[in-house]
Amino acid sequence: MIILEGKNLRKTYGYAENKVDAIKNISIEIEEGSFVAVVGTSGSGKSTLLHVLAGLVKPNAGKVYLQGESLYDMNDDRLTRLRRRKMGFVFQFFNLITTHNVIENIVLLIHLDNRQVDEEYVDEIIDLLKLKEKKYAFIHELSGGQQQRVAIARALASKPAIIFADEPTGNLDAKSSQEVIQLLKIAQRKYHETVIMVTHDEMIANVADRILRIEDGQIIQDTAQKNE
Amino acid sequence: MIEDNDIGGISIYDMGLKEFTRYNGSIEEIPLLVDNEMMIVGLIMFFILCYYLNKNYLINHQRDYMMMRIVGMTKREMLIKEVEKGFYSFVIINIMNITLILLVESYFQIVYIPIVEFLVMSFICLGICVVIYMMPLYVLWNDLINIDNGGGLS
Ligand SMILES: Nc1ncnc2c1ncn2[C@@H]1O[C@H](COP(=O)(O)OP(=O)(O)O)[C@@H](O)[C@H]1O
Ligand SMILES: [Mg+2]
Repeated sequence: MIILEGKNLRKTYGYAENKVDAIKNISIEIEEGSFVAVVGTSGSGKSTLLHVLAGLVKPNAGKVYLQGESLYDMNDDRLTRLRRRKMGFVFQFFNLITTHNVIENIVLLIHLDNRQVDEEYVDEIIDLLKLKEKKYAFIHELSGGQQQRVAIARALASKPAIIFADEPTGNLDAKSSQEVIQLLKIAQRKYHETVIMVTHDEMIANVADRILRIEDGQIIQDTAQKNE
Repeated sequence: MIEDNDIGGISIYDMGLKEFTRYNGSIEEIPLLVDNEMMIVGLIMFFILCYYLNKNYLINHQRDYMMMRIVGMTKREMLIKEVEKGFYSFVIINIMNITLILLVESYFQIVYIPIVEFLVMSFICLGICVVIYMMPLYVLWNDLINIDNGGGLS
């Protein structure tokens, strides 16, 4: 089943001679439960595509449908509530709210949505992500890898339909990178999340079921691959 | 009642007089140590201080606010949250204000209900609280993803 669909997406930044076509007429369909990697060089438009698909940046043209609902045809309040219910986010940095501690960050979306926290499930995630000792730590006490794990925990805790990750390992050493990638894999395998991950690292992209290669704002290659 | 006395080199001779009723019922005039100009200057300084404190606070927390919006806090919720914070500070400041008045009055053993002063102070307070806690809300008009928050948080 198609969970997310982008149709004829176009996004330009700036005006006149400074005008940049960040993405040019991209159409894309994402299968439910798949792990998609978007790769390309710096400035190729990967982040812009992710932001447009996630309802964060309105495209100049085209439509995005998440589970059949057109993101940019609803008002900002509805779109924002849809993000907290159906989407999880992991960015390269500044993921976490610095005035909150780890557990508050993890349950942030659930609280925003006035939902009941499923304590058992949240504890399970915390265990899985090895954050038990850090549960009440503040963000500035965490290493980069730990911060990314908290961001993943936050994304999992609200049981979204889809997780968007933009260079989630961009700021990490090789070992922490592997950990983070494995956790995203677990999010897909164990919790049946759909994951879209942007990266410029081919090695990291290799864990995906499908690799979209972007160059100059266009998809130049779309390959499915077997992954065990 | 007034002597030409100096307190720390500041003459209080010209400053306001106010009539107060003592606990025993006698009425006395007591010189006020603060005049209007001092009060206004003090308030302006207080305001500027608050502005800078809040500005730093705001810059430090701008990413937090943006991230809140990205992961799913609506504009309305953010507005309500900030106004709530302003209201609570207002209440706390007023409680401190009343306590201070009561302390001073019991020290001088006077009975005086400063309705006008209190109202003026609370309005000023309310103004400051609202301004301070409304300021962060300018992020609501920003793009969700922009250069300021790390070239698109990417
Ligand atoms: N907020 C913005 N304002 C202006 N130009 C931008 C903005 N965001 C991205 N761009 C431009 O769009 C192009 C694609 O950027 P981006 O999607 O961030 O690429 P990538 O993530 O692949 O490095 C780049 O040329 C970049 O300079
Ligand atoms: Mg990028």
